[in-house]
Amino acid sequence: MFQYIARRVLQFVPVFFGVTLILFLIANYLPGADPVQLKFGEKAIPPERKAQIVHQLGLDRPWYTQYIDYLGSLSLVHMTYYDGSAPATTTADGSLTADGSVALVVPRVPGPVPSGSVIIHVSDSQIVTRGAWGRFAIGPLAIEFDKPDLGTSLATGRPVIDILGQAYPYTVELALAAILLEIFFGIGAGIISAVKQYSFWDILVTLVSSVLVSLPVFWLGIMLQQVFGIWLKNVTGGAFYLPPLFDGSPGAKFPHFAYLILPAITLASVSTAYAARIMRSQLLEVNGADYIRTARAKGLSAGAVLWKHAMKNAMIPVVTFIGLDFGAMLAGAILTETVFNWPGIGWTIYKAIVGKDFPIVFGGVTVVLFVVMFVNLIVDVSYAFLDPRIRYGGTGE
Amino acid sequence: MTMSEHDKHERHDERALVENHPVRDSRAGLPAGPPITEELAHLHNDAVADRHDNDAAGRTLWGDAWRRLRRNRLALIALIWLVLMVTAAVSADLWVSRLFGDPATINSATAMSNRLLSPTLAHPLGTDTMGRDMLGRLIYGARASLTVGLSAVVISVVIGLLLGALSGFYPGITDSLIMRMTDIFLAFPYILFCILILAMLPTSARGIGPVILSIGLLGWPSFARLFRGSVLSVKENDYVDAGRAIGASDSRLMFRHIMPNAIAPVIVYATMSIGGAILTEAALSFLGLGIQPPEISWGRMITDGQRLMDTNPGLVFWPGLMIILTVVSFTLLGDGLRDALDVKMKD
Amino acid sequence: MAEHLLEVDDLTMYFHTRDGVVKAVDGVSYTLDKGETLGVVGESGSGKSVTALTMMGLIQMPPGKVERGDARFKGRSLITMKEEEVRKIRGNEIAMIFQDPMTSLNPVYRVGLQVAEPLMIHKGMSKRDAIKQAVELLRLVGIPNPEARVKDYPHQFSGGMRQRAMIAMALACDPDVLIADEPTTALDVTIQAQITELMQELQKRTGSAIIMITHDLGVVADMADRILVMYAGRMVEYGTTDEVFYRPLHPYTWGLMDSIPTHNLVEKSELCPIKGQPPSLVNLPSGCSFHPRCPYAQPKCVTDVPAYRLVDGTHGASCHFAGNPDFVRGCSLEVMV
Repeated sequence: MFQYIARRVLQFVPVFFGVTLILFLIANYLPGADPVQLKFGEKAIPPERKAQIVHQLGLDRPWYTQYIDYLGSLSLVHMTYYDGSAPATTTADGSLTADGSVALVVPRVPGPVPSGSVIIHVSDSQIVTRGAWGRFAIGPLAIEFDKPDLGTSLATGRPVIDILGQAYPYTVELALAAILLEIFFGIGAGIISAVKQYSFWDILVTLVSSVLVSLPVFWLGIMLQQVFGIWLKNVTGGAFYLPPLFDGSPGAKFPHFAYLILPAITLASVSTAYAARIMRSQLLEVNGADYIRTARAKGLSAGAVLWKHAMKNAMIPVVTFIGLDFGAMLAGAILTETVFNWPGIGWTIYKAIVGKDFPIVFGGVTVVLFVVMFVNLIVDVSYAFLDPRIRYGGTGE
Repeated sequence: MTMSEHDKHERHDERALVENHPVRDSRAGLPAGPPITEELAHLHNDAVADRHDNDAAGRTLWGDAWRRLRRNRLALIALIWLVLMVTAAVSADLWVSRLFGDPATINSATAMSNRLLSPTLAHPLGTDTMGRDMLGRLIYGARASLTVGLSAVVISVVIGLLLGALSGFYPGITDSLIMRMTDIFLAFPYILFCILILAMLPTSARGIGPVILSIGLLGWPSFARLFRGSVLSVKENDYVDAGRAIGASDSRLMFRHIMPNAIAPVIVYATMSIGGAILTEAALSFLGLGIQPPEISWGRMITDGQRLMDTNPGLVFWPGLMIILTVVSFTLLGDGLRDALDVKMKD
Repeated sequence: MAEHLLEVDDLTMYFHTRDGVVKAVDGVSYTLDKGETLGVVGESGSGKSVTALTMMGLIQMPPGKVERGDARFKGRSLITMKEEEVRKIRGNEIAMIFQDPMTSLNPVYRVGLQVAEPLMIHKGMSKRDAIKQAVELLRLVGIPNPEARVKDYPHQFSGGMRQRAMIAMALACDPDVLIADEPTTALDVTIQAQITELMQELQKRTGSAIIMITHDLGVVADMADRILVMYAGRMVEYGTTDEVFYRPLHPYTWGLMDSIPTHNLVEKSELCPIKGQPPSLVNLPSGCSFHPRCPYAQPKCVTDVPAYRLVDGTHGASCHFAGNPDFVRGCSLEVMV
């Protein structure tokens, strides 16, 4: 088992670096896009200033240096080496100024060894804080914990990570609600479909899931909004309906969970269809297995055969699928949140797209990407615990 | 898990039974017959029925596949619908404007007077907020979606086949490197990757080209893996060794021997991927990152019509319906192709 | 007349499929008494497994359907019995072991639990007691260190050990009948002998009856008291082991034994090898199902279906010319010429 886990983790490392490299390349070297421009929105930059800004931002440094800096900015943990020399200059407000050149992993920063959190100027326009979340120092070598730096919003100047931090609980809430729906309805429909193969129910589930899988999620959201939010309201004279758009204000008409219903259904729809299909196909495949015949030959009832023997085998790939699908769900949340004004990360990204606030777009996508990668890794590893063949590897006497 | 894996399980539970049962029985000194147990009885009879068909007509790979496809009613309906759409879309420039008026540009003279009309003979599905004919717009939207779908998948297939072939033929570092790259690209959910790229571009640079490229650049890993698998399994076969023995070069082996066998699953998966590409394009256009006005896209039509859902639900409903029908058709066609071609591979 | 433990009487089961009726089992009759071993022999597709599965109610109906006949266990009809009643017998009084122990054991459950399961269902034992009993059962079938092994998963066992575990599972409730469906086919030759030895030993101890379904004549020669030969769903010959081996009546059996017995000749003469494939059960040949492959077929064989008839005591066959000494002499003369 440990071999399996180790292999999986080892495979993850190059993927992590590859993904961050691609993100970095897109941010800085995308043909047709101007990274300097992106940092300033669509304001025009006079050409004289341009070169200066490029230097200030450190964009004229070699790409690998920039890449490492980028990784560093994303990281929670930093290692810094203070070489104890006198600071080069001080700025007007008395804080230290230093010209930090990055040597691979450990940045070497000139200056006396500080205690507590320290503010470092890396370049004129970049202020970097080290140790705001904690510091652990051995002499001149320090391990410092900080919030990852995803840039600052062009519109408000607030750090992107703060904005996203405010939004992510909503997305988590939505995703969890959607997964619960997916588990209950998807697995349930799949089981019934497989047990009563070729019955009316089976055909219905197959048809509906085929359609759901081909559905644009945002369109479904709009339709549901219309039917349950507006048409239902008209038909029942305002007595019973679901709110079409989110309202988080204190005076909102509905309790908070009511606003969750339609978006959760929308988000869950496509995943539920896939889950039902997989559950059905896995159960059918397992039902043809020899050990099911053995179980029946032992005198087990049909119910016991299904729940004790069949399901335990069929569920393993299904659980894996649901875990991996979580990532797709987070990505799809962008569309759902936009339709319902649900203030999660997706909605934040959308507003940033419209408002051309690129740091938020980039930061938001990065965060979602990282969550997806880590969830996938966890699912991969958990497979070792689910399948006894991996958990207790080896054969023979 | 890729989609092809799920579906393979779905369809091949019966086939797996065939493979798990004993076929050869030489111990009694007598040759064994076809396996007949309760589960397989009906499969055997299908085989018998097929033998009748095949003896009648000639036996070629594609002829057989076509015959099988013909029997799959759903796939046929899907194919007919797609052919209709493609014809309408490709020829759109010739007749749409004449029949329904220009669906793209706004005719300021008639814009206000014509807006939001109910369906009439002149405008079978009504008009939009700017007085443009809906049906005409839907047809042009079809053109955009089909173009994006096909082009993006072509790009993915070309890159995927190339890298898959390299990976399969040259195991070792090349193979590992390419496989790592597939892992990396597979970590990106479609929409996120495309949003990333398209949001970075200034509005003037957006349009159908970047959409096709970003979708296409993300889709290659599945094809690479698929093709690599085919290359690896075919490589084992004797006739490849025989070919090598007489001095055939690698690329010759590739094209004459491996391609014909390996191409079938690629075709199936490509067909199904077109549906996914169309959905992605619609989502991107909905967010404003895809096809820009005055170019027409179904996703964009939905965005535009969203505001008027209560009074004119058709503005949102029809484009959505078109997306569903088109994607379902590609999926059904892909399913049908898989059944038609896969069975041949087992023989 | 004393009641037989198991009596199969003209059991006939067809599958009704879209493309035709598959005559999987057609008119099979035999009896089984306590302590007896019956060997059921035939090629793949002869219906030997399906007969047993039909008896146990493990065939899906539809598309299967028992057309006529019966299978009576201790006097009670297994065919007309309600499902809940049959379930009480399955794994309890009649147990079955299957061919491939790797796929016949559930990979996600420990072996001990699977062996203990029949005890929990039929004898109402608690899980703890049942597993204790399972340890003893594993010991009985010759698995070393059963206390530790009981916690293992199937993939941690070797092929031979898995089959032993399956036997333990089948014997858990001390069944009266043990049906073994090709138990050694998927195993190594050396292990095969061990398993058959084990089964014989256990039979001596428990006194249960065994139905041994196989295509391997070597196995039945050793173990069986009586032999039933099946071909294309029909019973072709039935008798004691000695009778079937030394005085086979049906040309198909001759082919299996590789010889034609003659009363007149001292040595056994050479046989024409039987060519061809068994027929499709949907499209059976007219008359005797074996006639296309029988080197001695006569015109009558093409038109008339031979009924099973007793030829010598309890030894019988389904051949128009079974037991006809002129016919037999004619066949061997043909060969010699």
